Amino acid sequence: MIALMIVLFIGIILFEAPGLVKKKMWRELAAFFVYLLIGMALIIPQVLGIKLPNPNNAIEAVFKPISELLK
Amino acid sequence: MLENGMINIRQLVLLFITSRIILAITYFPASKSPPANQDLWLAMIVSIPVTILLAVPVMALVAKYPQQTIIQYSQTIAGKFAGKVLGVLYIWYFLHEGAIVLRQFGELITTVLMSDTPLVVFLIGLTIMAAYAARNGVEVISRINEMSFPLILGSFLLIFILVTKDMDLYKLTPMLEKGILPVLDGGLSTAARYSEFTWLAMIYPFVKDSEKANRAIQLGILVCGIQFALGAVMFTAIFGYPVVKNLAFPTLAVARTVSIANFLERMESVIMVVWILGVLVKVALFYYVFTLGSAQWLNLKDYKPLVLPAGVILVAMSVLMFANLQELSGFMKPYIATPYTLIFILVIPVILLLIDFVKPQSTKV
Repeated sequence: MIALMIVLFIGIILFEAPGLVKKKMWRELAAFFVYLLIGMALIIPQVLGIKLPNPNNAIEAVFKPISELLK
Repeated sequence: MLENGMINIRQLVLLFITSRIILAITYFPASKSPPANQDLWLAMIVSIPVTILLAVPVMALVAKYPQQTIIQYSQTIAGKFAGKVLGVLYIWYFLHEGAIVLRQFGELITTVLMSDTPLVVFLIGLTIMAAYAARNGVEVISRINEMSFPLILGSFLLIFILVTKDMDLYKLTPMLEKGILPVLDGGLSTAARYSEFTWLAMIYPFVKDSEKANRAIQLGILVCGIQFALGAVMFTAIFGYPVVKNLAFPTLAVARTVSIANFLERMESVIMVVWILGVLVKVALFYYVFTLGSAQWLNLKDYKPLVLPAGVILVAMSVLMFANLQELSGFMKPYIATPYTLIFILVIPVILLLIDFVKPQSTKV
């Protein structure tokens, strides 16, 4: 499974990065890698089974007092 | 310019309508929100004027800055830092909404259709298609929608017409059983779900003749409201409200009951096709504004390189956020979704409008 992910990421890099390097779009290249790293950081732990914090819990926690008020 | 495409008013409205009704055509989350009884269809009608009112701040804001997206003018209005913070909030919202819709797509397919196939397969599949659309820009997304829209609305109306003989309008009584207040409440919570206004604030600069957009969007709201009301009438009249409340996918249930002369049956496959087409557009929209917004926020020359990594993030978020269908439905419940969405379609635009009123930055006279 991890191997599949790695192949996917390499594939994405090979698809985009050469074009960016050729056009010397360094800022875009940096942003590309940052986003890719965020994506990897989100997906690899899940493939490995490590639990990640769920943003919805934070959202629900913030809005719970308001929703109690509305009820 | 990060985006060279332009769409016209008609395409904008069709995008708006598809984005809004596609969820009502399948999940119909409004059936779980107030008034939670057979007056559901009344609440849907009430939601029309409520939504039009709710749209006023956003439409006023986009009209003041017709050449910029909300990521851009939030910095112009509120200053660099506050604007950047607001930008991050919106970028997050686009990602969040996109991931939710993507998950809704996957859950429906696995629950109803191919339960043995892992959820991720459908998430990745749709994301790849949406990535292709998003990468090619708003024109492509809206052209896909133009082709799909007649099918989407037409199928719904077809099913509605086909089940009219099974409808028992007495199930809609007693009317106003709980009084008018829950109906108004329902109208508000339906109106508050119009997350479309967020991507509209991003797409507006790419719309030709955007001055006429206000009227057109109001028409779109009307169409959506009518569709919701027809849907509510259809479900309630056929099953009765107590059953509808517990149905995960009311339209599929209704489509299954269609049986004309023992010949025209199994209409739910039509709904499936419609669902895939519509949800592709919706996901592509949020995916697109997520990427475009990110690129604008980072001052990049082009948003396209971000599309593929953003897709990875989208799928990852989709999987991460909910453990199962119950959690997904739980989040869609009104008391959390309503205030959360309202922040982005009402509160922040109003704040921006107020700041702009005090300190006008607009170049428009």
